[in-house]
Amino acid sequence: MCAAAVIFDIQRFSLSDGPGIRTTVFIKGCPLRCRWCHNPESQQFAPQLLFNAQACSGCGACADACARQAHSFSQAGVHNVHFDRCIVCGKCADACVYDALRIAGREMTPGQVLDEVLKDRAYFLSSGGGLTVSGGEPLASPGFLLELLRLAKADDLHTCVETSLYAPWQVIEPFVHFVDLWLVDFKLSDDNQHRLYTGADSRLILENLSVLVKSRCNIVLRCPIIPGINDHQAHFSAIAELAKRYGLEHAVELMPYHAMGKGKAAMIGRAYLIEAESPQNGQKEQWRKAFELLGIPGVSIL
Amino acid sequence: MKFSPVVYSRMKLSAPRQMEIMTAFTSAYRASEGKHPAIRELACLWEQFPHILGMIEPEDIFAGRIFHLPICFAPQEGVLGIGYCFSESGAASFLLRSDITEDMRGRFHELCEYWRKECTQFRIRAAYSREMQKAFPSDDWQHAAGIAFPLYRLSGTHLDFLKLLRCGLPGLRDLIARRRDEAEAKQEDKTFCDCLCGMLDLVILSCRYYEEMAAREMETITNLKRQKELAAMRDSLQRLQTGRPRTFRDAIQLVLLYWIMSGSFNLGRMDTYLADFYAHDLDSGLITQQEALRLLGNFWKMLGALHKEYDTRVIIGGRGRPNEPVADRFALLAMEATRCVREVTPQLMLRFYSGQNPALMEKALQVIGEGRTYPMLYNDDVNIPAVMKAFNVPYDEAAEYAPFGCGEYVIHHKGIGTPSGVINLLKALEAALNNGHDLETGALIGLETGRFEEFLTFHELLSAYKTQVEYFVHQLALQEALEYEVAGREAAFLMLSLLFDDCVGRNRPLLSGGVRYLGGTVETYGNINTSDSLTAIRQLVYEKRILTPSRMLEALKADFAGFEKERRLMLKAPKYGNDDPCADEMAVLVHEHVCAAAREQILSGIGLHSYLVVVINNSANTILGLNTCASADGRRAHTFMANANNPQPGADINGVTAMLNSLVKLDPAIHAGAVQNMKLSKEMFTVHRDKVNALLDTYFQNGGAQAMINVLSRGDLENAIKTPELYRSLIVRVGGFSARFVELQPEVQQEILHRTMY
Repeated sequence: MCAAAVIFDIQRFSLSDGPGIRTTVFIKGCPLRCRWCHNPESQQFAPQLLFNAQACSGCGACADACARQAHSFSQAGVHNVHFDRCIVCGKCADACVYDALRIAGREMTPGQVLDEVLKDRAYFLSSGGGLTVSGGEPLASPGFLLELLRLAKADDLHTCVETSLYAPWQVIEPFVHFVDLWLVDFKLSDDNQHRLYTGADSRLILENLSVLVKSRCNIVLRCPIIPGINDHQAHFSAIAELAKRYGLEHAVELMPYHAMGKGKAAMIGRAYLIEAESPQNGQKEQWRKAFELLGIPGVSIL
Repeated sequence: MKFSPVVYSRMKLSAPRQMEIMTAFTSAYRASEGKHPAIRELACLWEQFPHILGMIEPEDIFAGRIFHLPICFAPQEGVLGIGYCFSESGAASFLLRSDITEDMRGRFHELCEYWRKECTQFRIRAAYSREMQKAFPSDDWQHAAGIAFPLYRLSGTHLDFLKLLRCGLPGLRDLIARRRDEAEAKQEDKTFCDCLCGMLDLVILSCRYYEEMAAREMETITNLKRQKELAAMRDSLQRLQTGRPRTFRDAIQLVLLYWIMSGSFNLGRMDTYLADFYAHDLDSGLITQQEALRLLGNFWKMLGALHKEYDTRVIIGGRGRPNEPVADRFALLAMEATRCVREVTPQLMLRFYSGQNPALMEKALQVIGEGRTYPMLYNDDVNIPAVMKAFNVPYDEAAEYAPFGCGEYVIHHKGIGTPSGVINLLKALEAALNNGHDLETGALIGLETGRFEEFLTFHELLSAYKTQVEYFVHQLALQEALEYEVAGREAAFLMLSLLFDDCVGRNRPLLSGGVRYLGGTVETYGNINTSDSLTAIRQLVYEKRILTPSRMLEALKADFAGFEKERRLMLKAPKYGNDDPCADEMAVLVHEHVCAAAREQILSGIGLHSYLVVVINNSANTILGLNTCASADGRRAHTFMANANNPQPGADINGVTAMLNSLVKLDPAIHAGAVQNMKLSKEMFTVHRDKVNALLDTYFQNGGAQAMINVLSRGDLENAIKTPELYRSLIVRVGGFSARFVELQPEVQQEILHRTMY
């Protein structure tokens, strides 16, 4: 038996995380701290409190329910959440009928997750879809992940893992036989920048990628493009060079930045450290052309 | 149920002329009192036709417009009505006309006074048993607060147009004349046959009426092209008086004219009766593809002009079409016509089965993808076995199933299945929660089944609900049988009887032993709100014990004013449409119970071949909802209820596959039709077309019987911002990921909204 993991979402009818109709399972916990992270609540391994100020009615039921004084209301009725005092007991979320408070993440076993995933098995089969595990960083919960994929394979499901590959190769190696398609995030080509914006160096990631390629794994390079940070020619060239080196010219996907993470960071009481604009359609077309000139035609932009 | 805006304002006839027709109609009716119903009906029809046939409009390629008067004979006309119809709303509009004199007004009032008590609907109500009167104190289902209401009509009739086109009018007349001689030889009553002949003479006369009108129009027009058009119309109408239809144009003309005169509202399997004409004319070079499309497109417009939005179904595709390759060619033309014409009607629907020519489904998805909502898709692989079981008919007849109106099935020109009753299941639950009384007014609306506060278990509450439903379903079944019986005594429904299987052979009118399968149906509403409410009650009152029965009742009575927290709890309870075992199990229970309650009615010998539930979509879910108090699923008082078998709008938040998985849990083989609506974004339909195909394939393989697919556009996104609660399942692409549109921050929504819609 292997450990449960904290799952923060199971998204059915997921259309962009691998081929066909898929169910994407999001595991909480990530060793990286990308500043543009779309899901800041996915970084911490443990469940945590999410507060949506827009939904709050100011009724105060949460303050009554909380033994740790994590909720207070100013005289003007403004609801302050003291995340540092929260022990994630969930009592305030239960008391909140307005869904302004909820706990992100609940512990599930691989078997429980698979039961949920299998509900759409027929849709996977007809569309060439299957299970995608995302995060957080799924490789940061290796025991759980391996068991989930083993079960999925026993049920003949197509499997994808979306990962930064930021893990020791020994951790990754056992997965080679259980993952049909690796969705590998390639974030920044300059190592200093990589450290600055993700909190980790890129050497390990690149080494792992190279071994993964040698192991004849199917790979898609997924590249988040953040205006002002990595939407420049040098990075594009590096992506193209990497793709060519590994024969991935037709497996490059660009993921344009979106400010989704900004609101979510506020919900968990965290500062959001970048100011970027979501790219417009015209800009995305320019990227597409730039890649064409670099010998990577028909790059998909998600 | 359905009602159509009656277009009296567009009537070309003057008020005095209308008055003349209605007076003559009434005199004919009075003069034939005591005579055979077929004789009386024929006499009235001769006063009605061709006078109420409308003028040929400048854009018409075919002749065939009709304007019913407030006093008329029809299977179903006006708001509701059967046989000899009197429409109060039609009468009111008539009185508003500017060309009406005081004297006429007085005489019209006299006519109204007479018909109020003489119309078939009145006769039916007058025949009610005491128990029926108690069960149905009101016929006003749109305004009165009640659990069940009777409806008065003969709907879903599908005529054998193949027979009409093969024989032609004179041929049919010969056929009936021979049957008459046979009857004479056997010393049977010949009246019915005589009257059928008389009725055919009237149709032939109506052809002449239009032929002459077309010829007159030609004289007033200088445009050469239009003159040629009218000449073709004239010649066609002339040919139809003396022989069989020869061309595609003739065939459409005959179908249209007979159809509007008959008062039938749906057109059935059109690719089984028009396809040969189309293929013949095209292959012999008589018409081009473009001309065929123009003809059919104009036919579509003529059908649209009738404003029968809840009917006017045209069926294409499916098993049981004798010449399938030819039928398929017509089916493709029909879909192209629907793509081009962009009318609300006809309601085109494609029947399909595994192994059918894939070009049909391909074309269907193309048309749907353009936001047309047509064709609606019907899966024969599920429906035919379901119809065999539900209707208890052999395979060959089940293969002739024909969805009509808002989605009720009958057997094509072999069966009748009028929905003659409406039951609001959520109102039945309201009565069960309040000892038979309306929660708001306290009026007694159902059976006194006990007080909610005294039910110790969920099972006791469920029993009370079931008792309410069973009682009303039984009364509705009795009402339906009585309705047919009275209507059959009043009229022979000649135009329908002629083209319904077995009537001529048996020498019996439609409702007097003629039709092969005389069935009935009951429209159920609020099914899903009922099951979601029961789920919430079971969870909150009996399992978690968070709410007491009296607290819940108080909250519902107050429409949640001061009970916002309670309402939130009810809203958070599991909801159908999310592939949630707990909520779906309850939906199955509610579904199976009411379906069984209906099916059991035939065991009590009420004289119907079948009595089945239909779970259809029209505006009744909203109208009945307006008369229904707050419900335990968190629904506010006097607001809409969920449509048919679909989740309460906004309650399905687990993705489309989850919604579809919930849908297929409801057995289609125990009722006479249910409809499933599906909204997909335009982007989904175009960018992810292969995945949409897989989605639909799988849904149908999983047992999906039907789908109505709505491809959304930018306007829907704008509406989603204004009323997010109705669009909770709308998924959009944000960039690198997909999200539920309404859960996005306002700015994000704006951003997506402002993108070009591809």
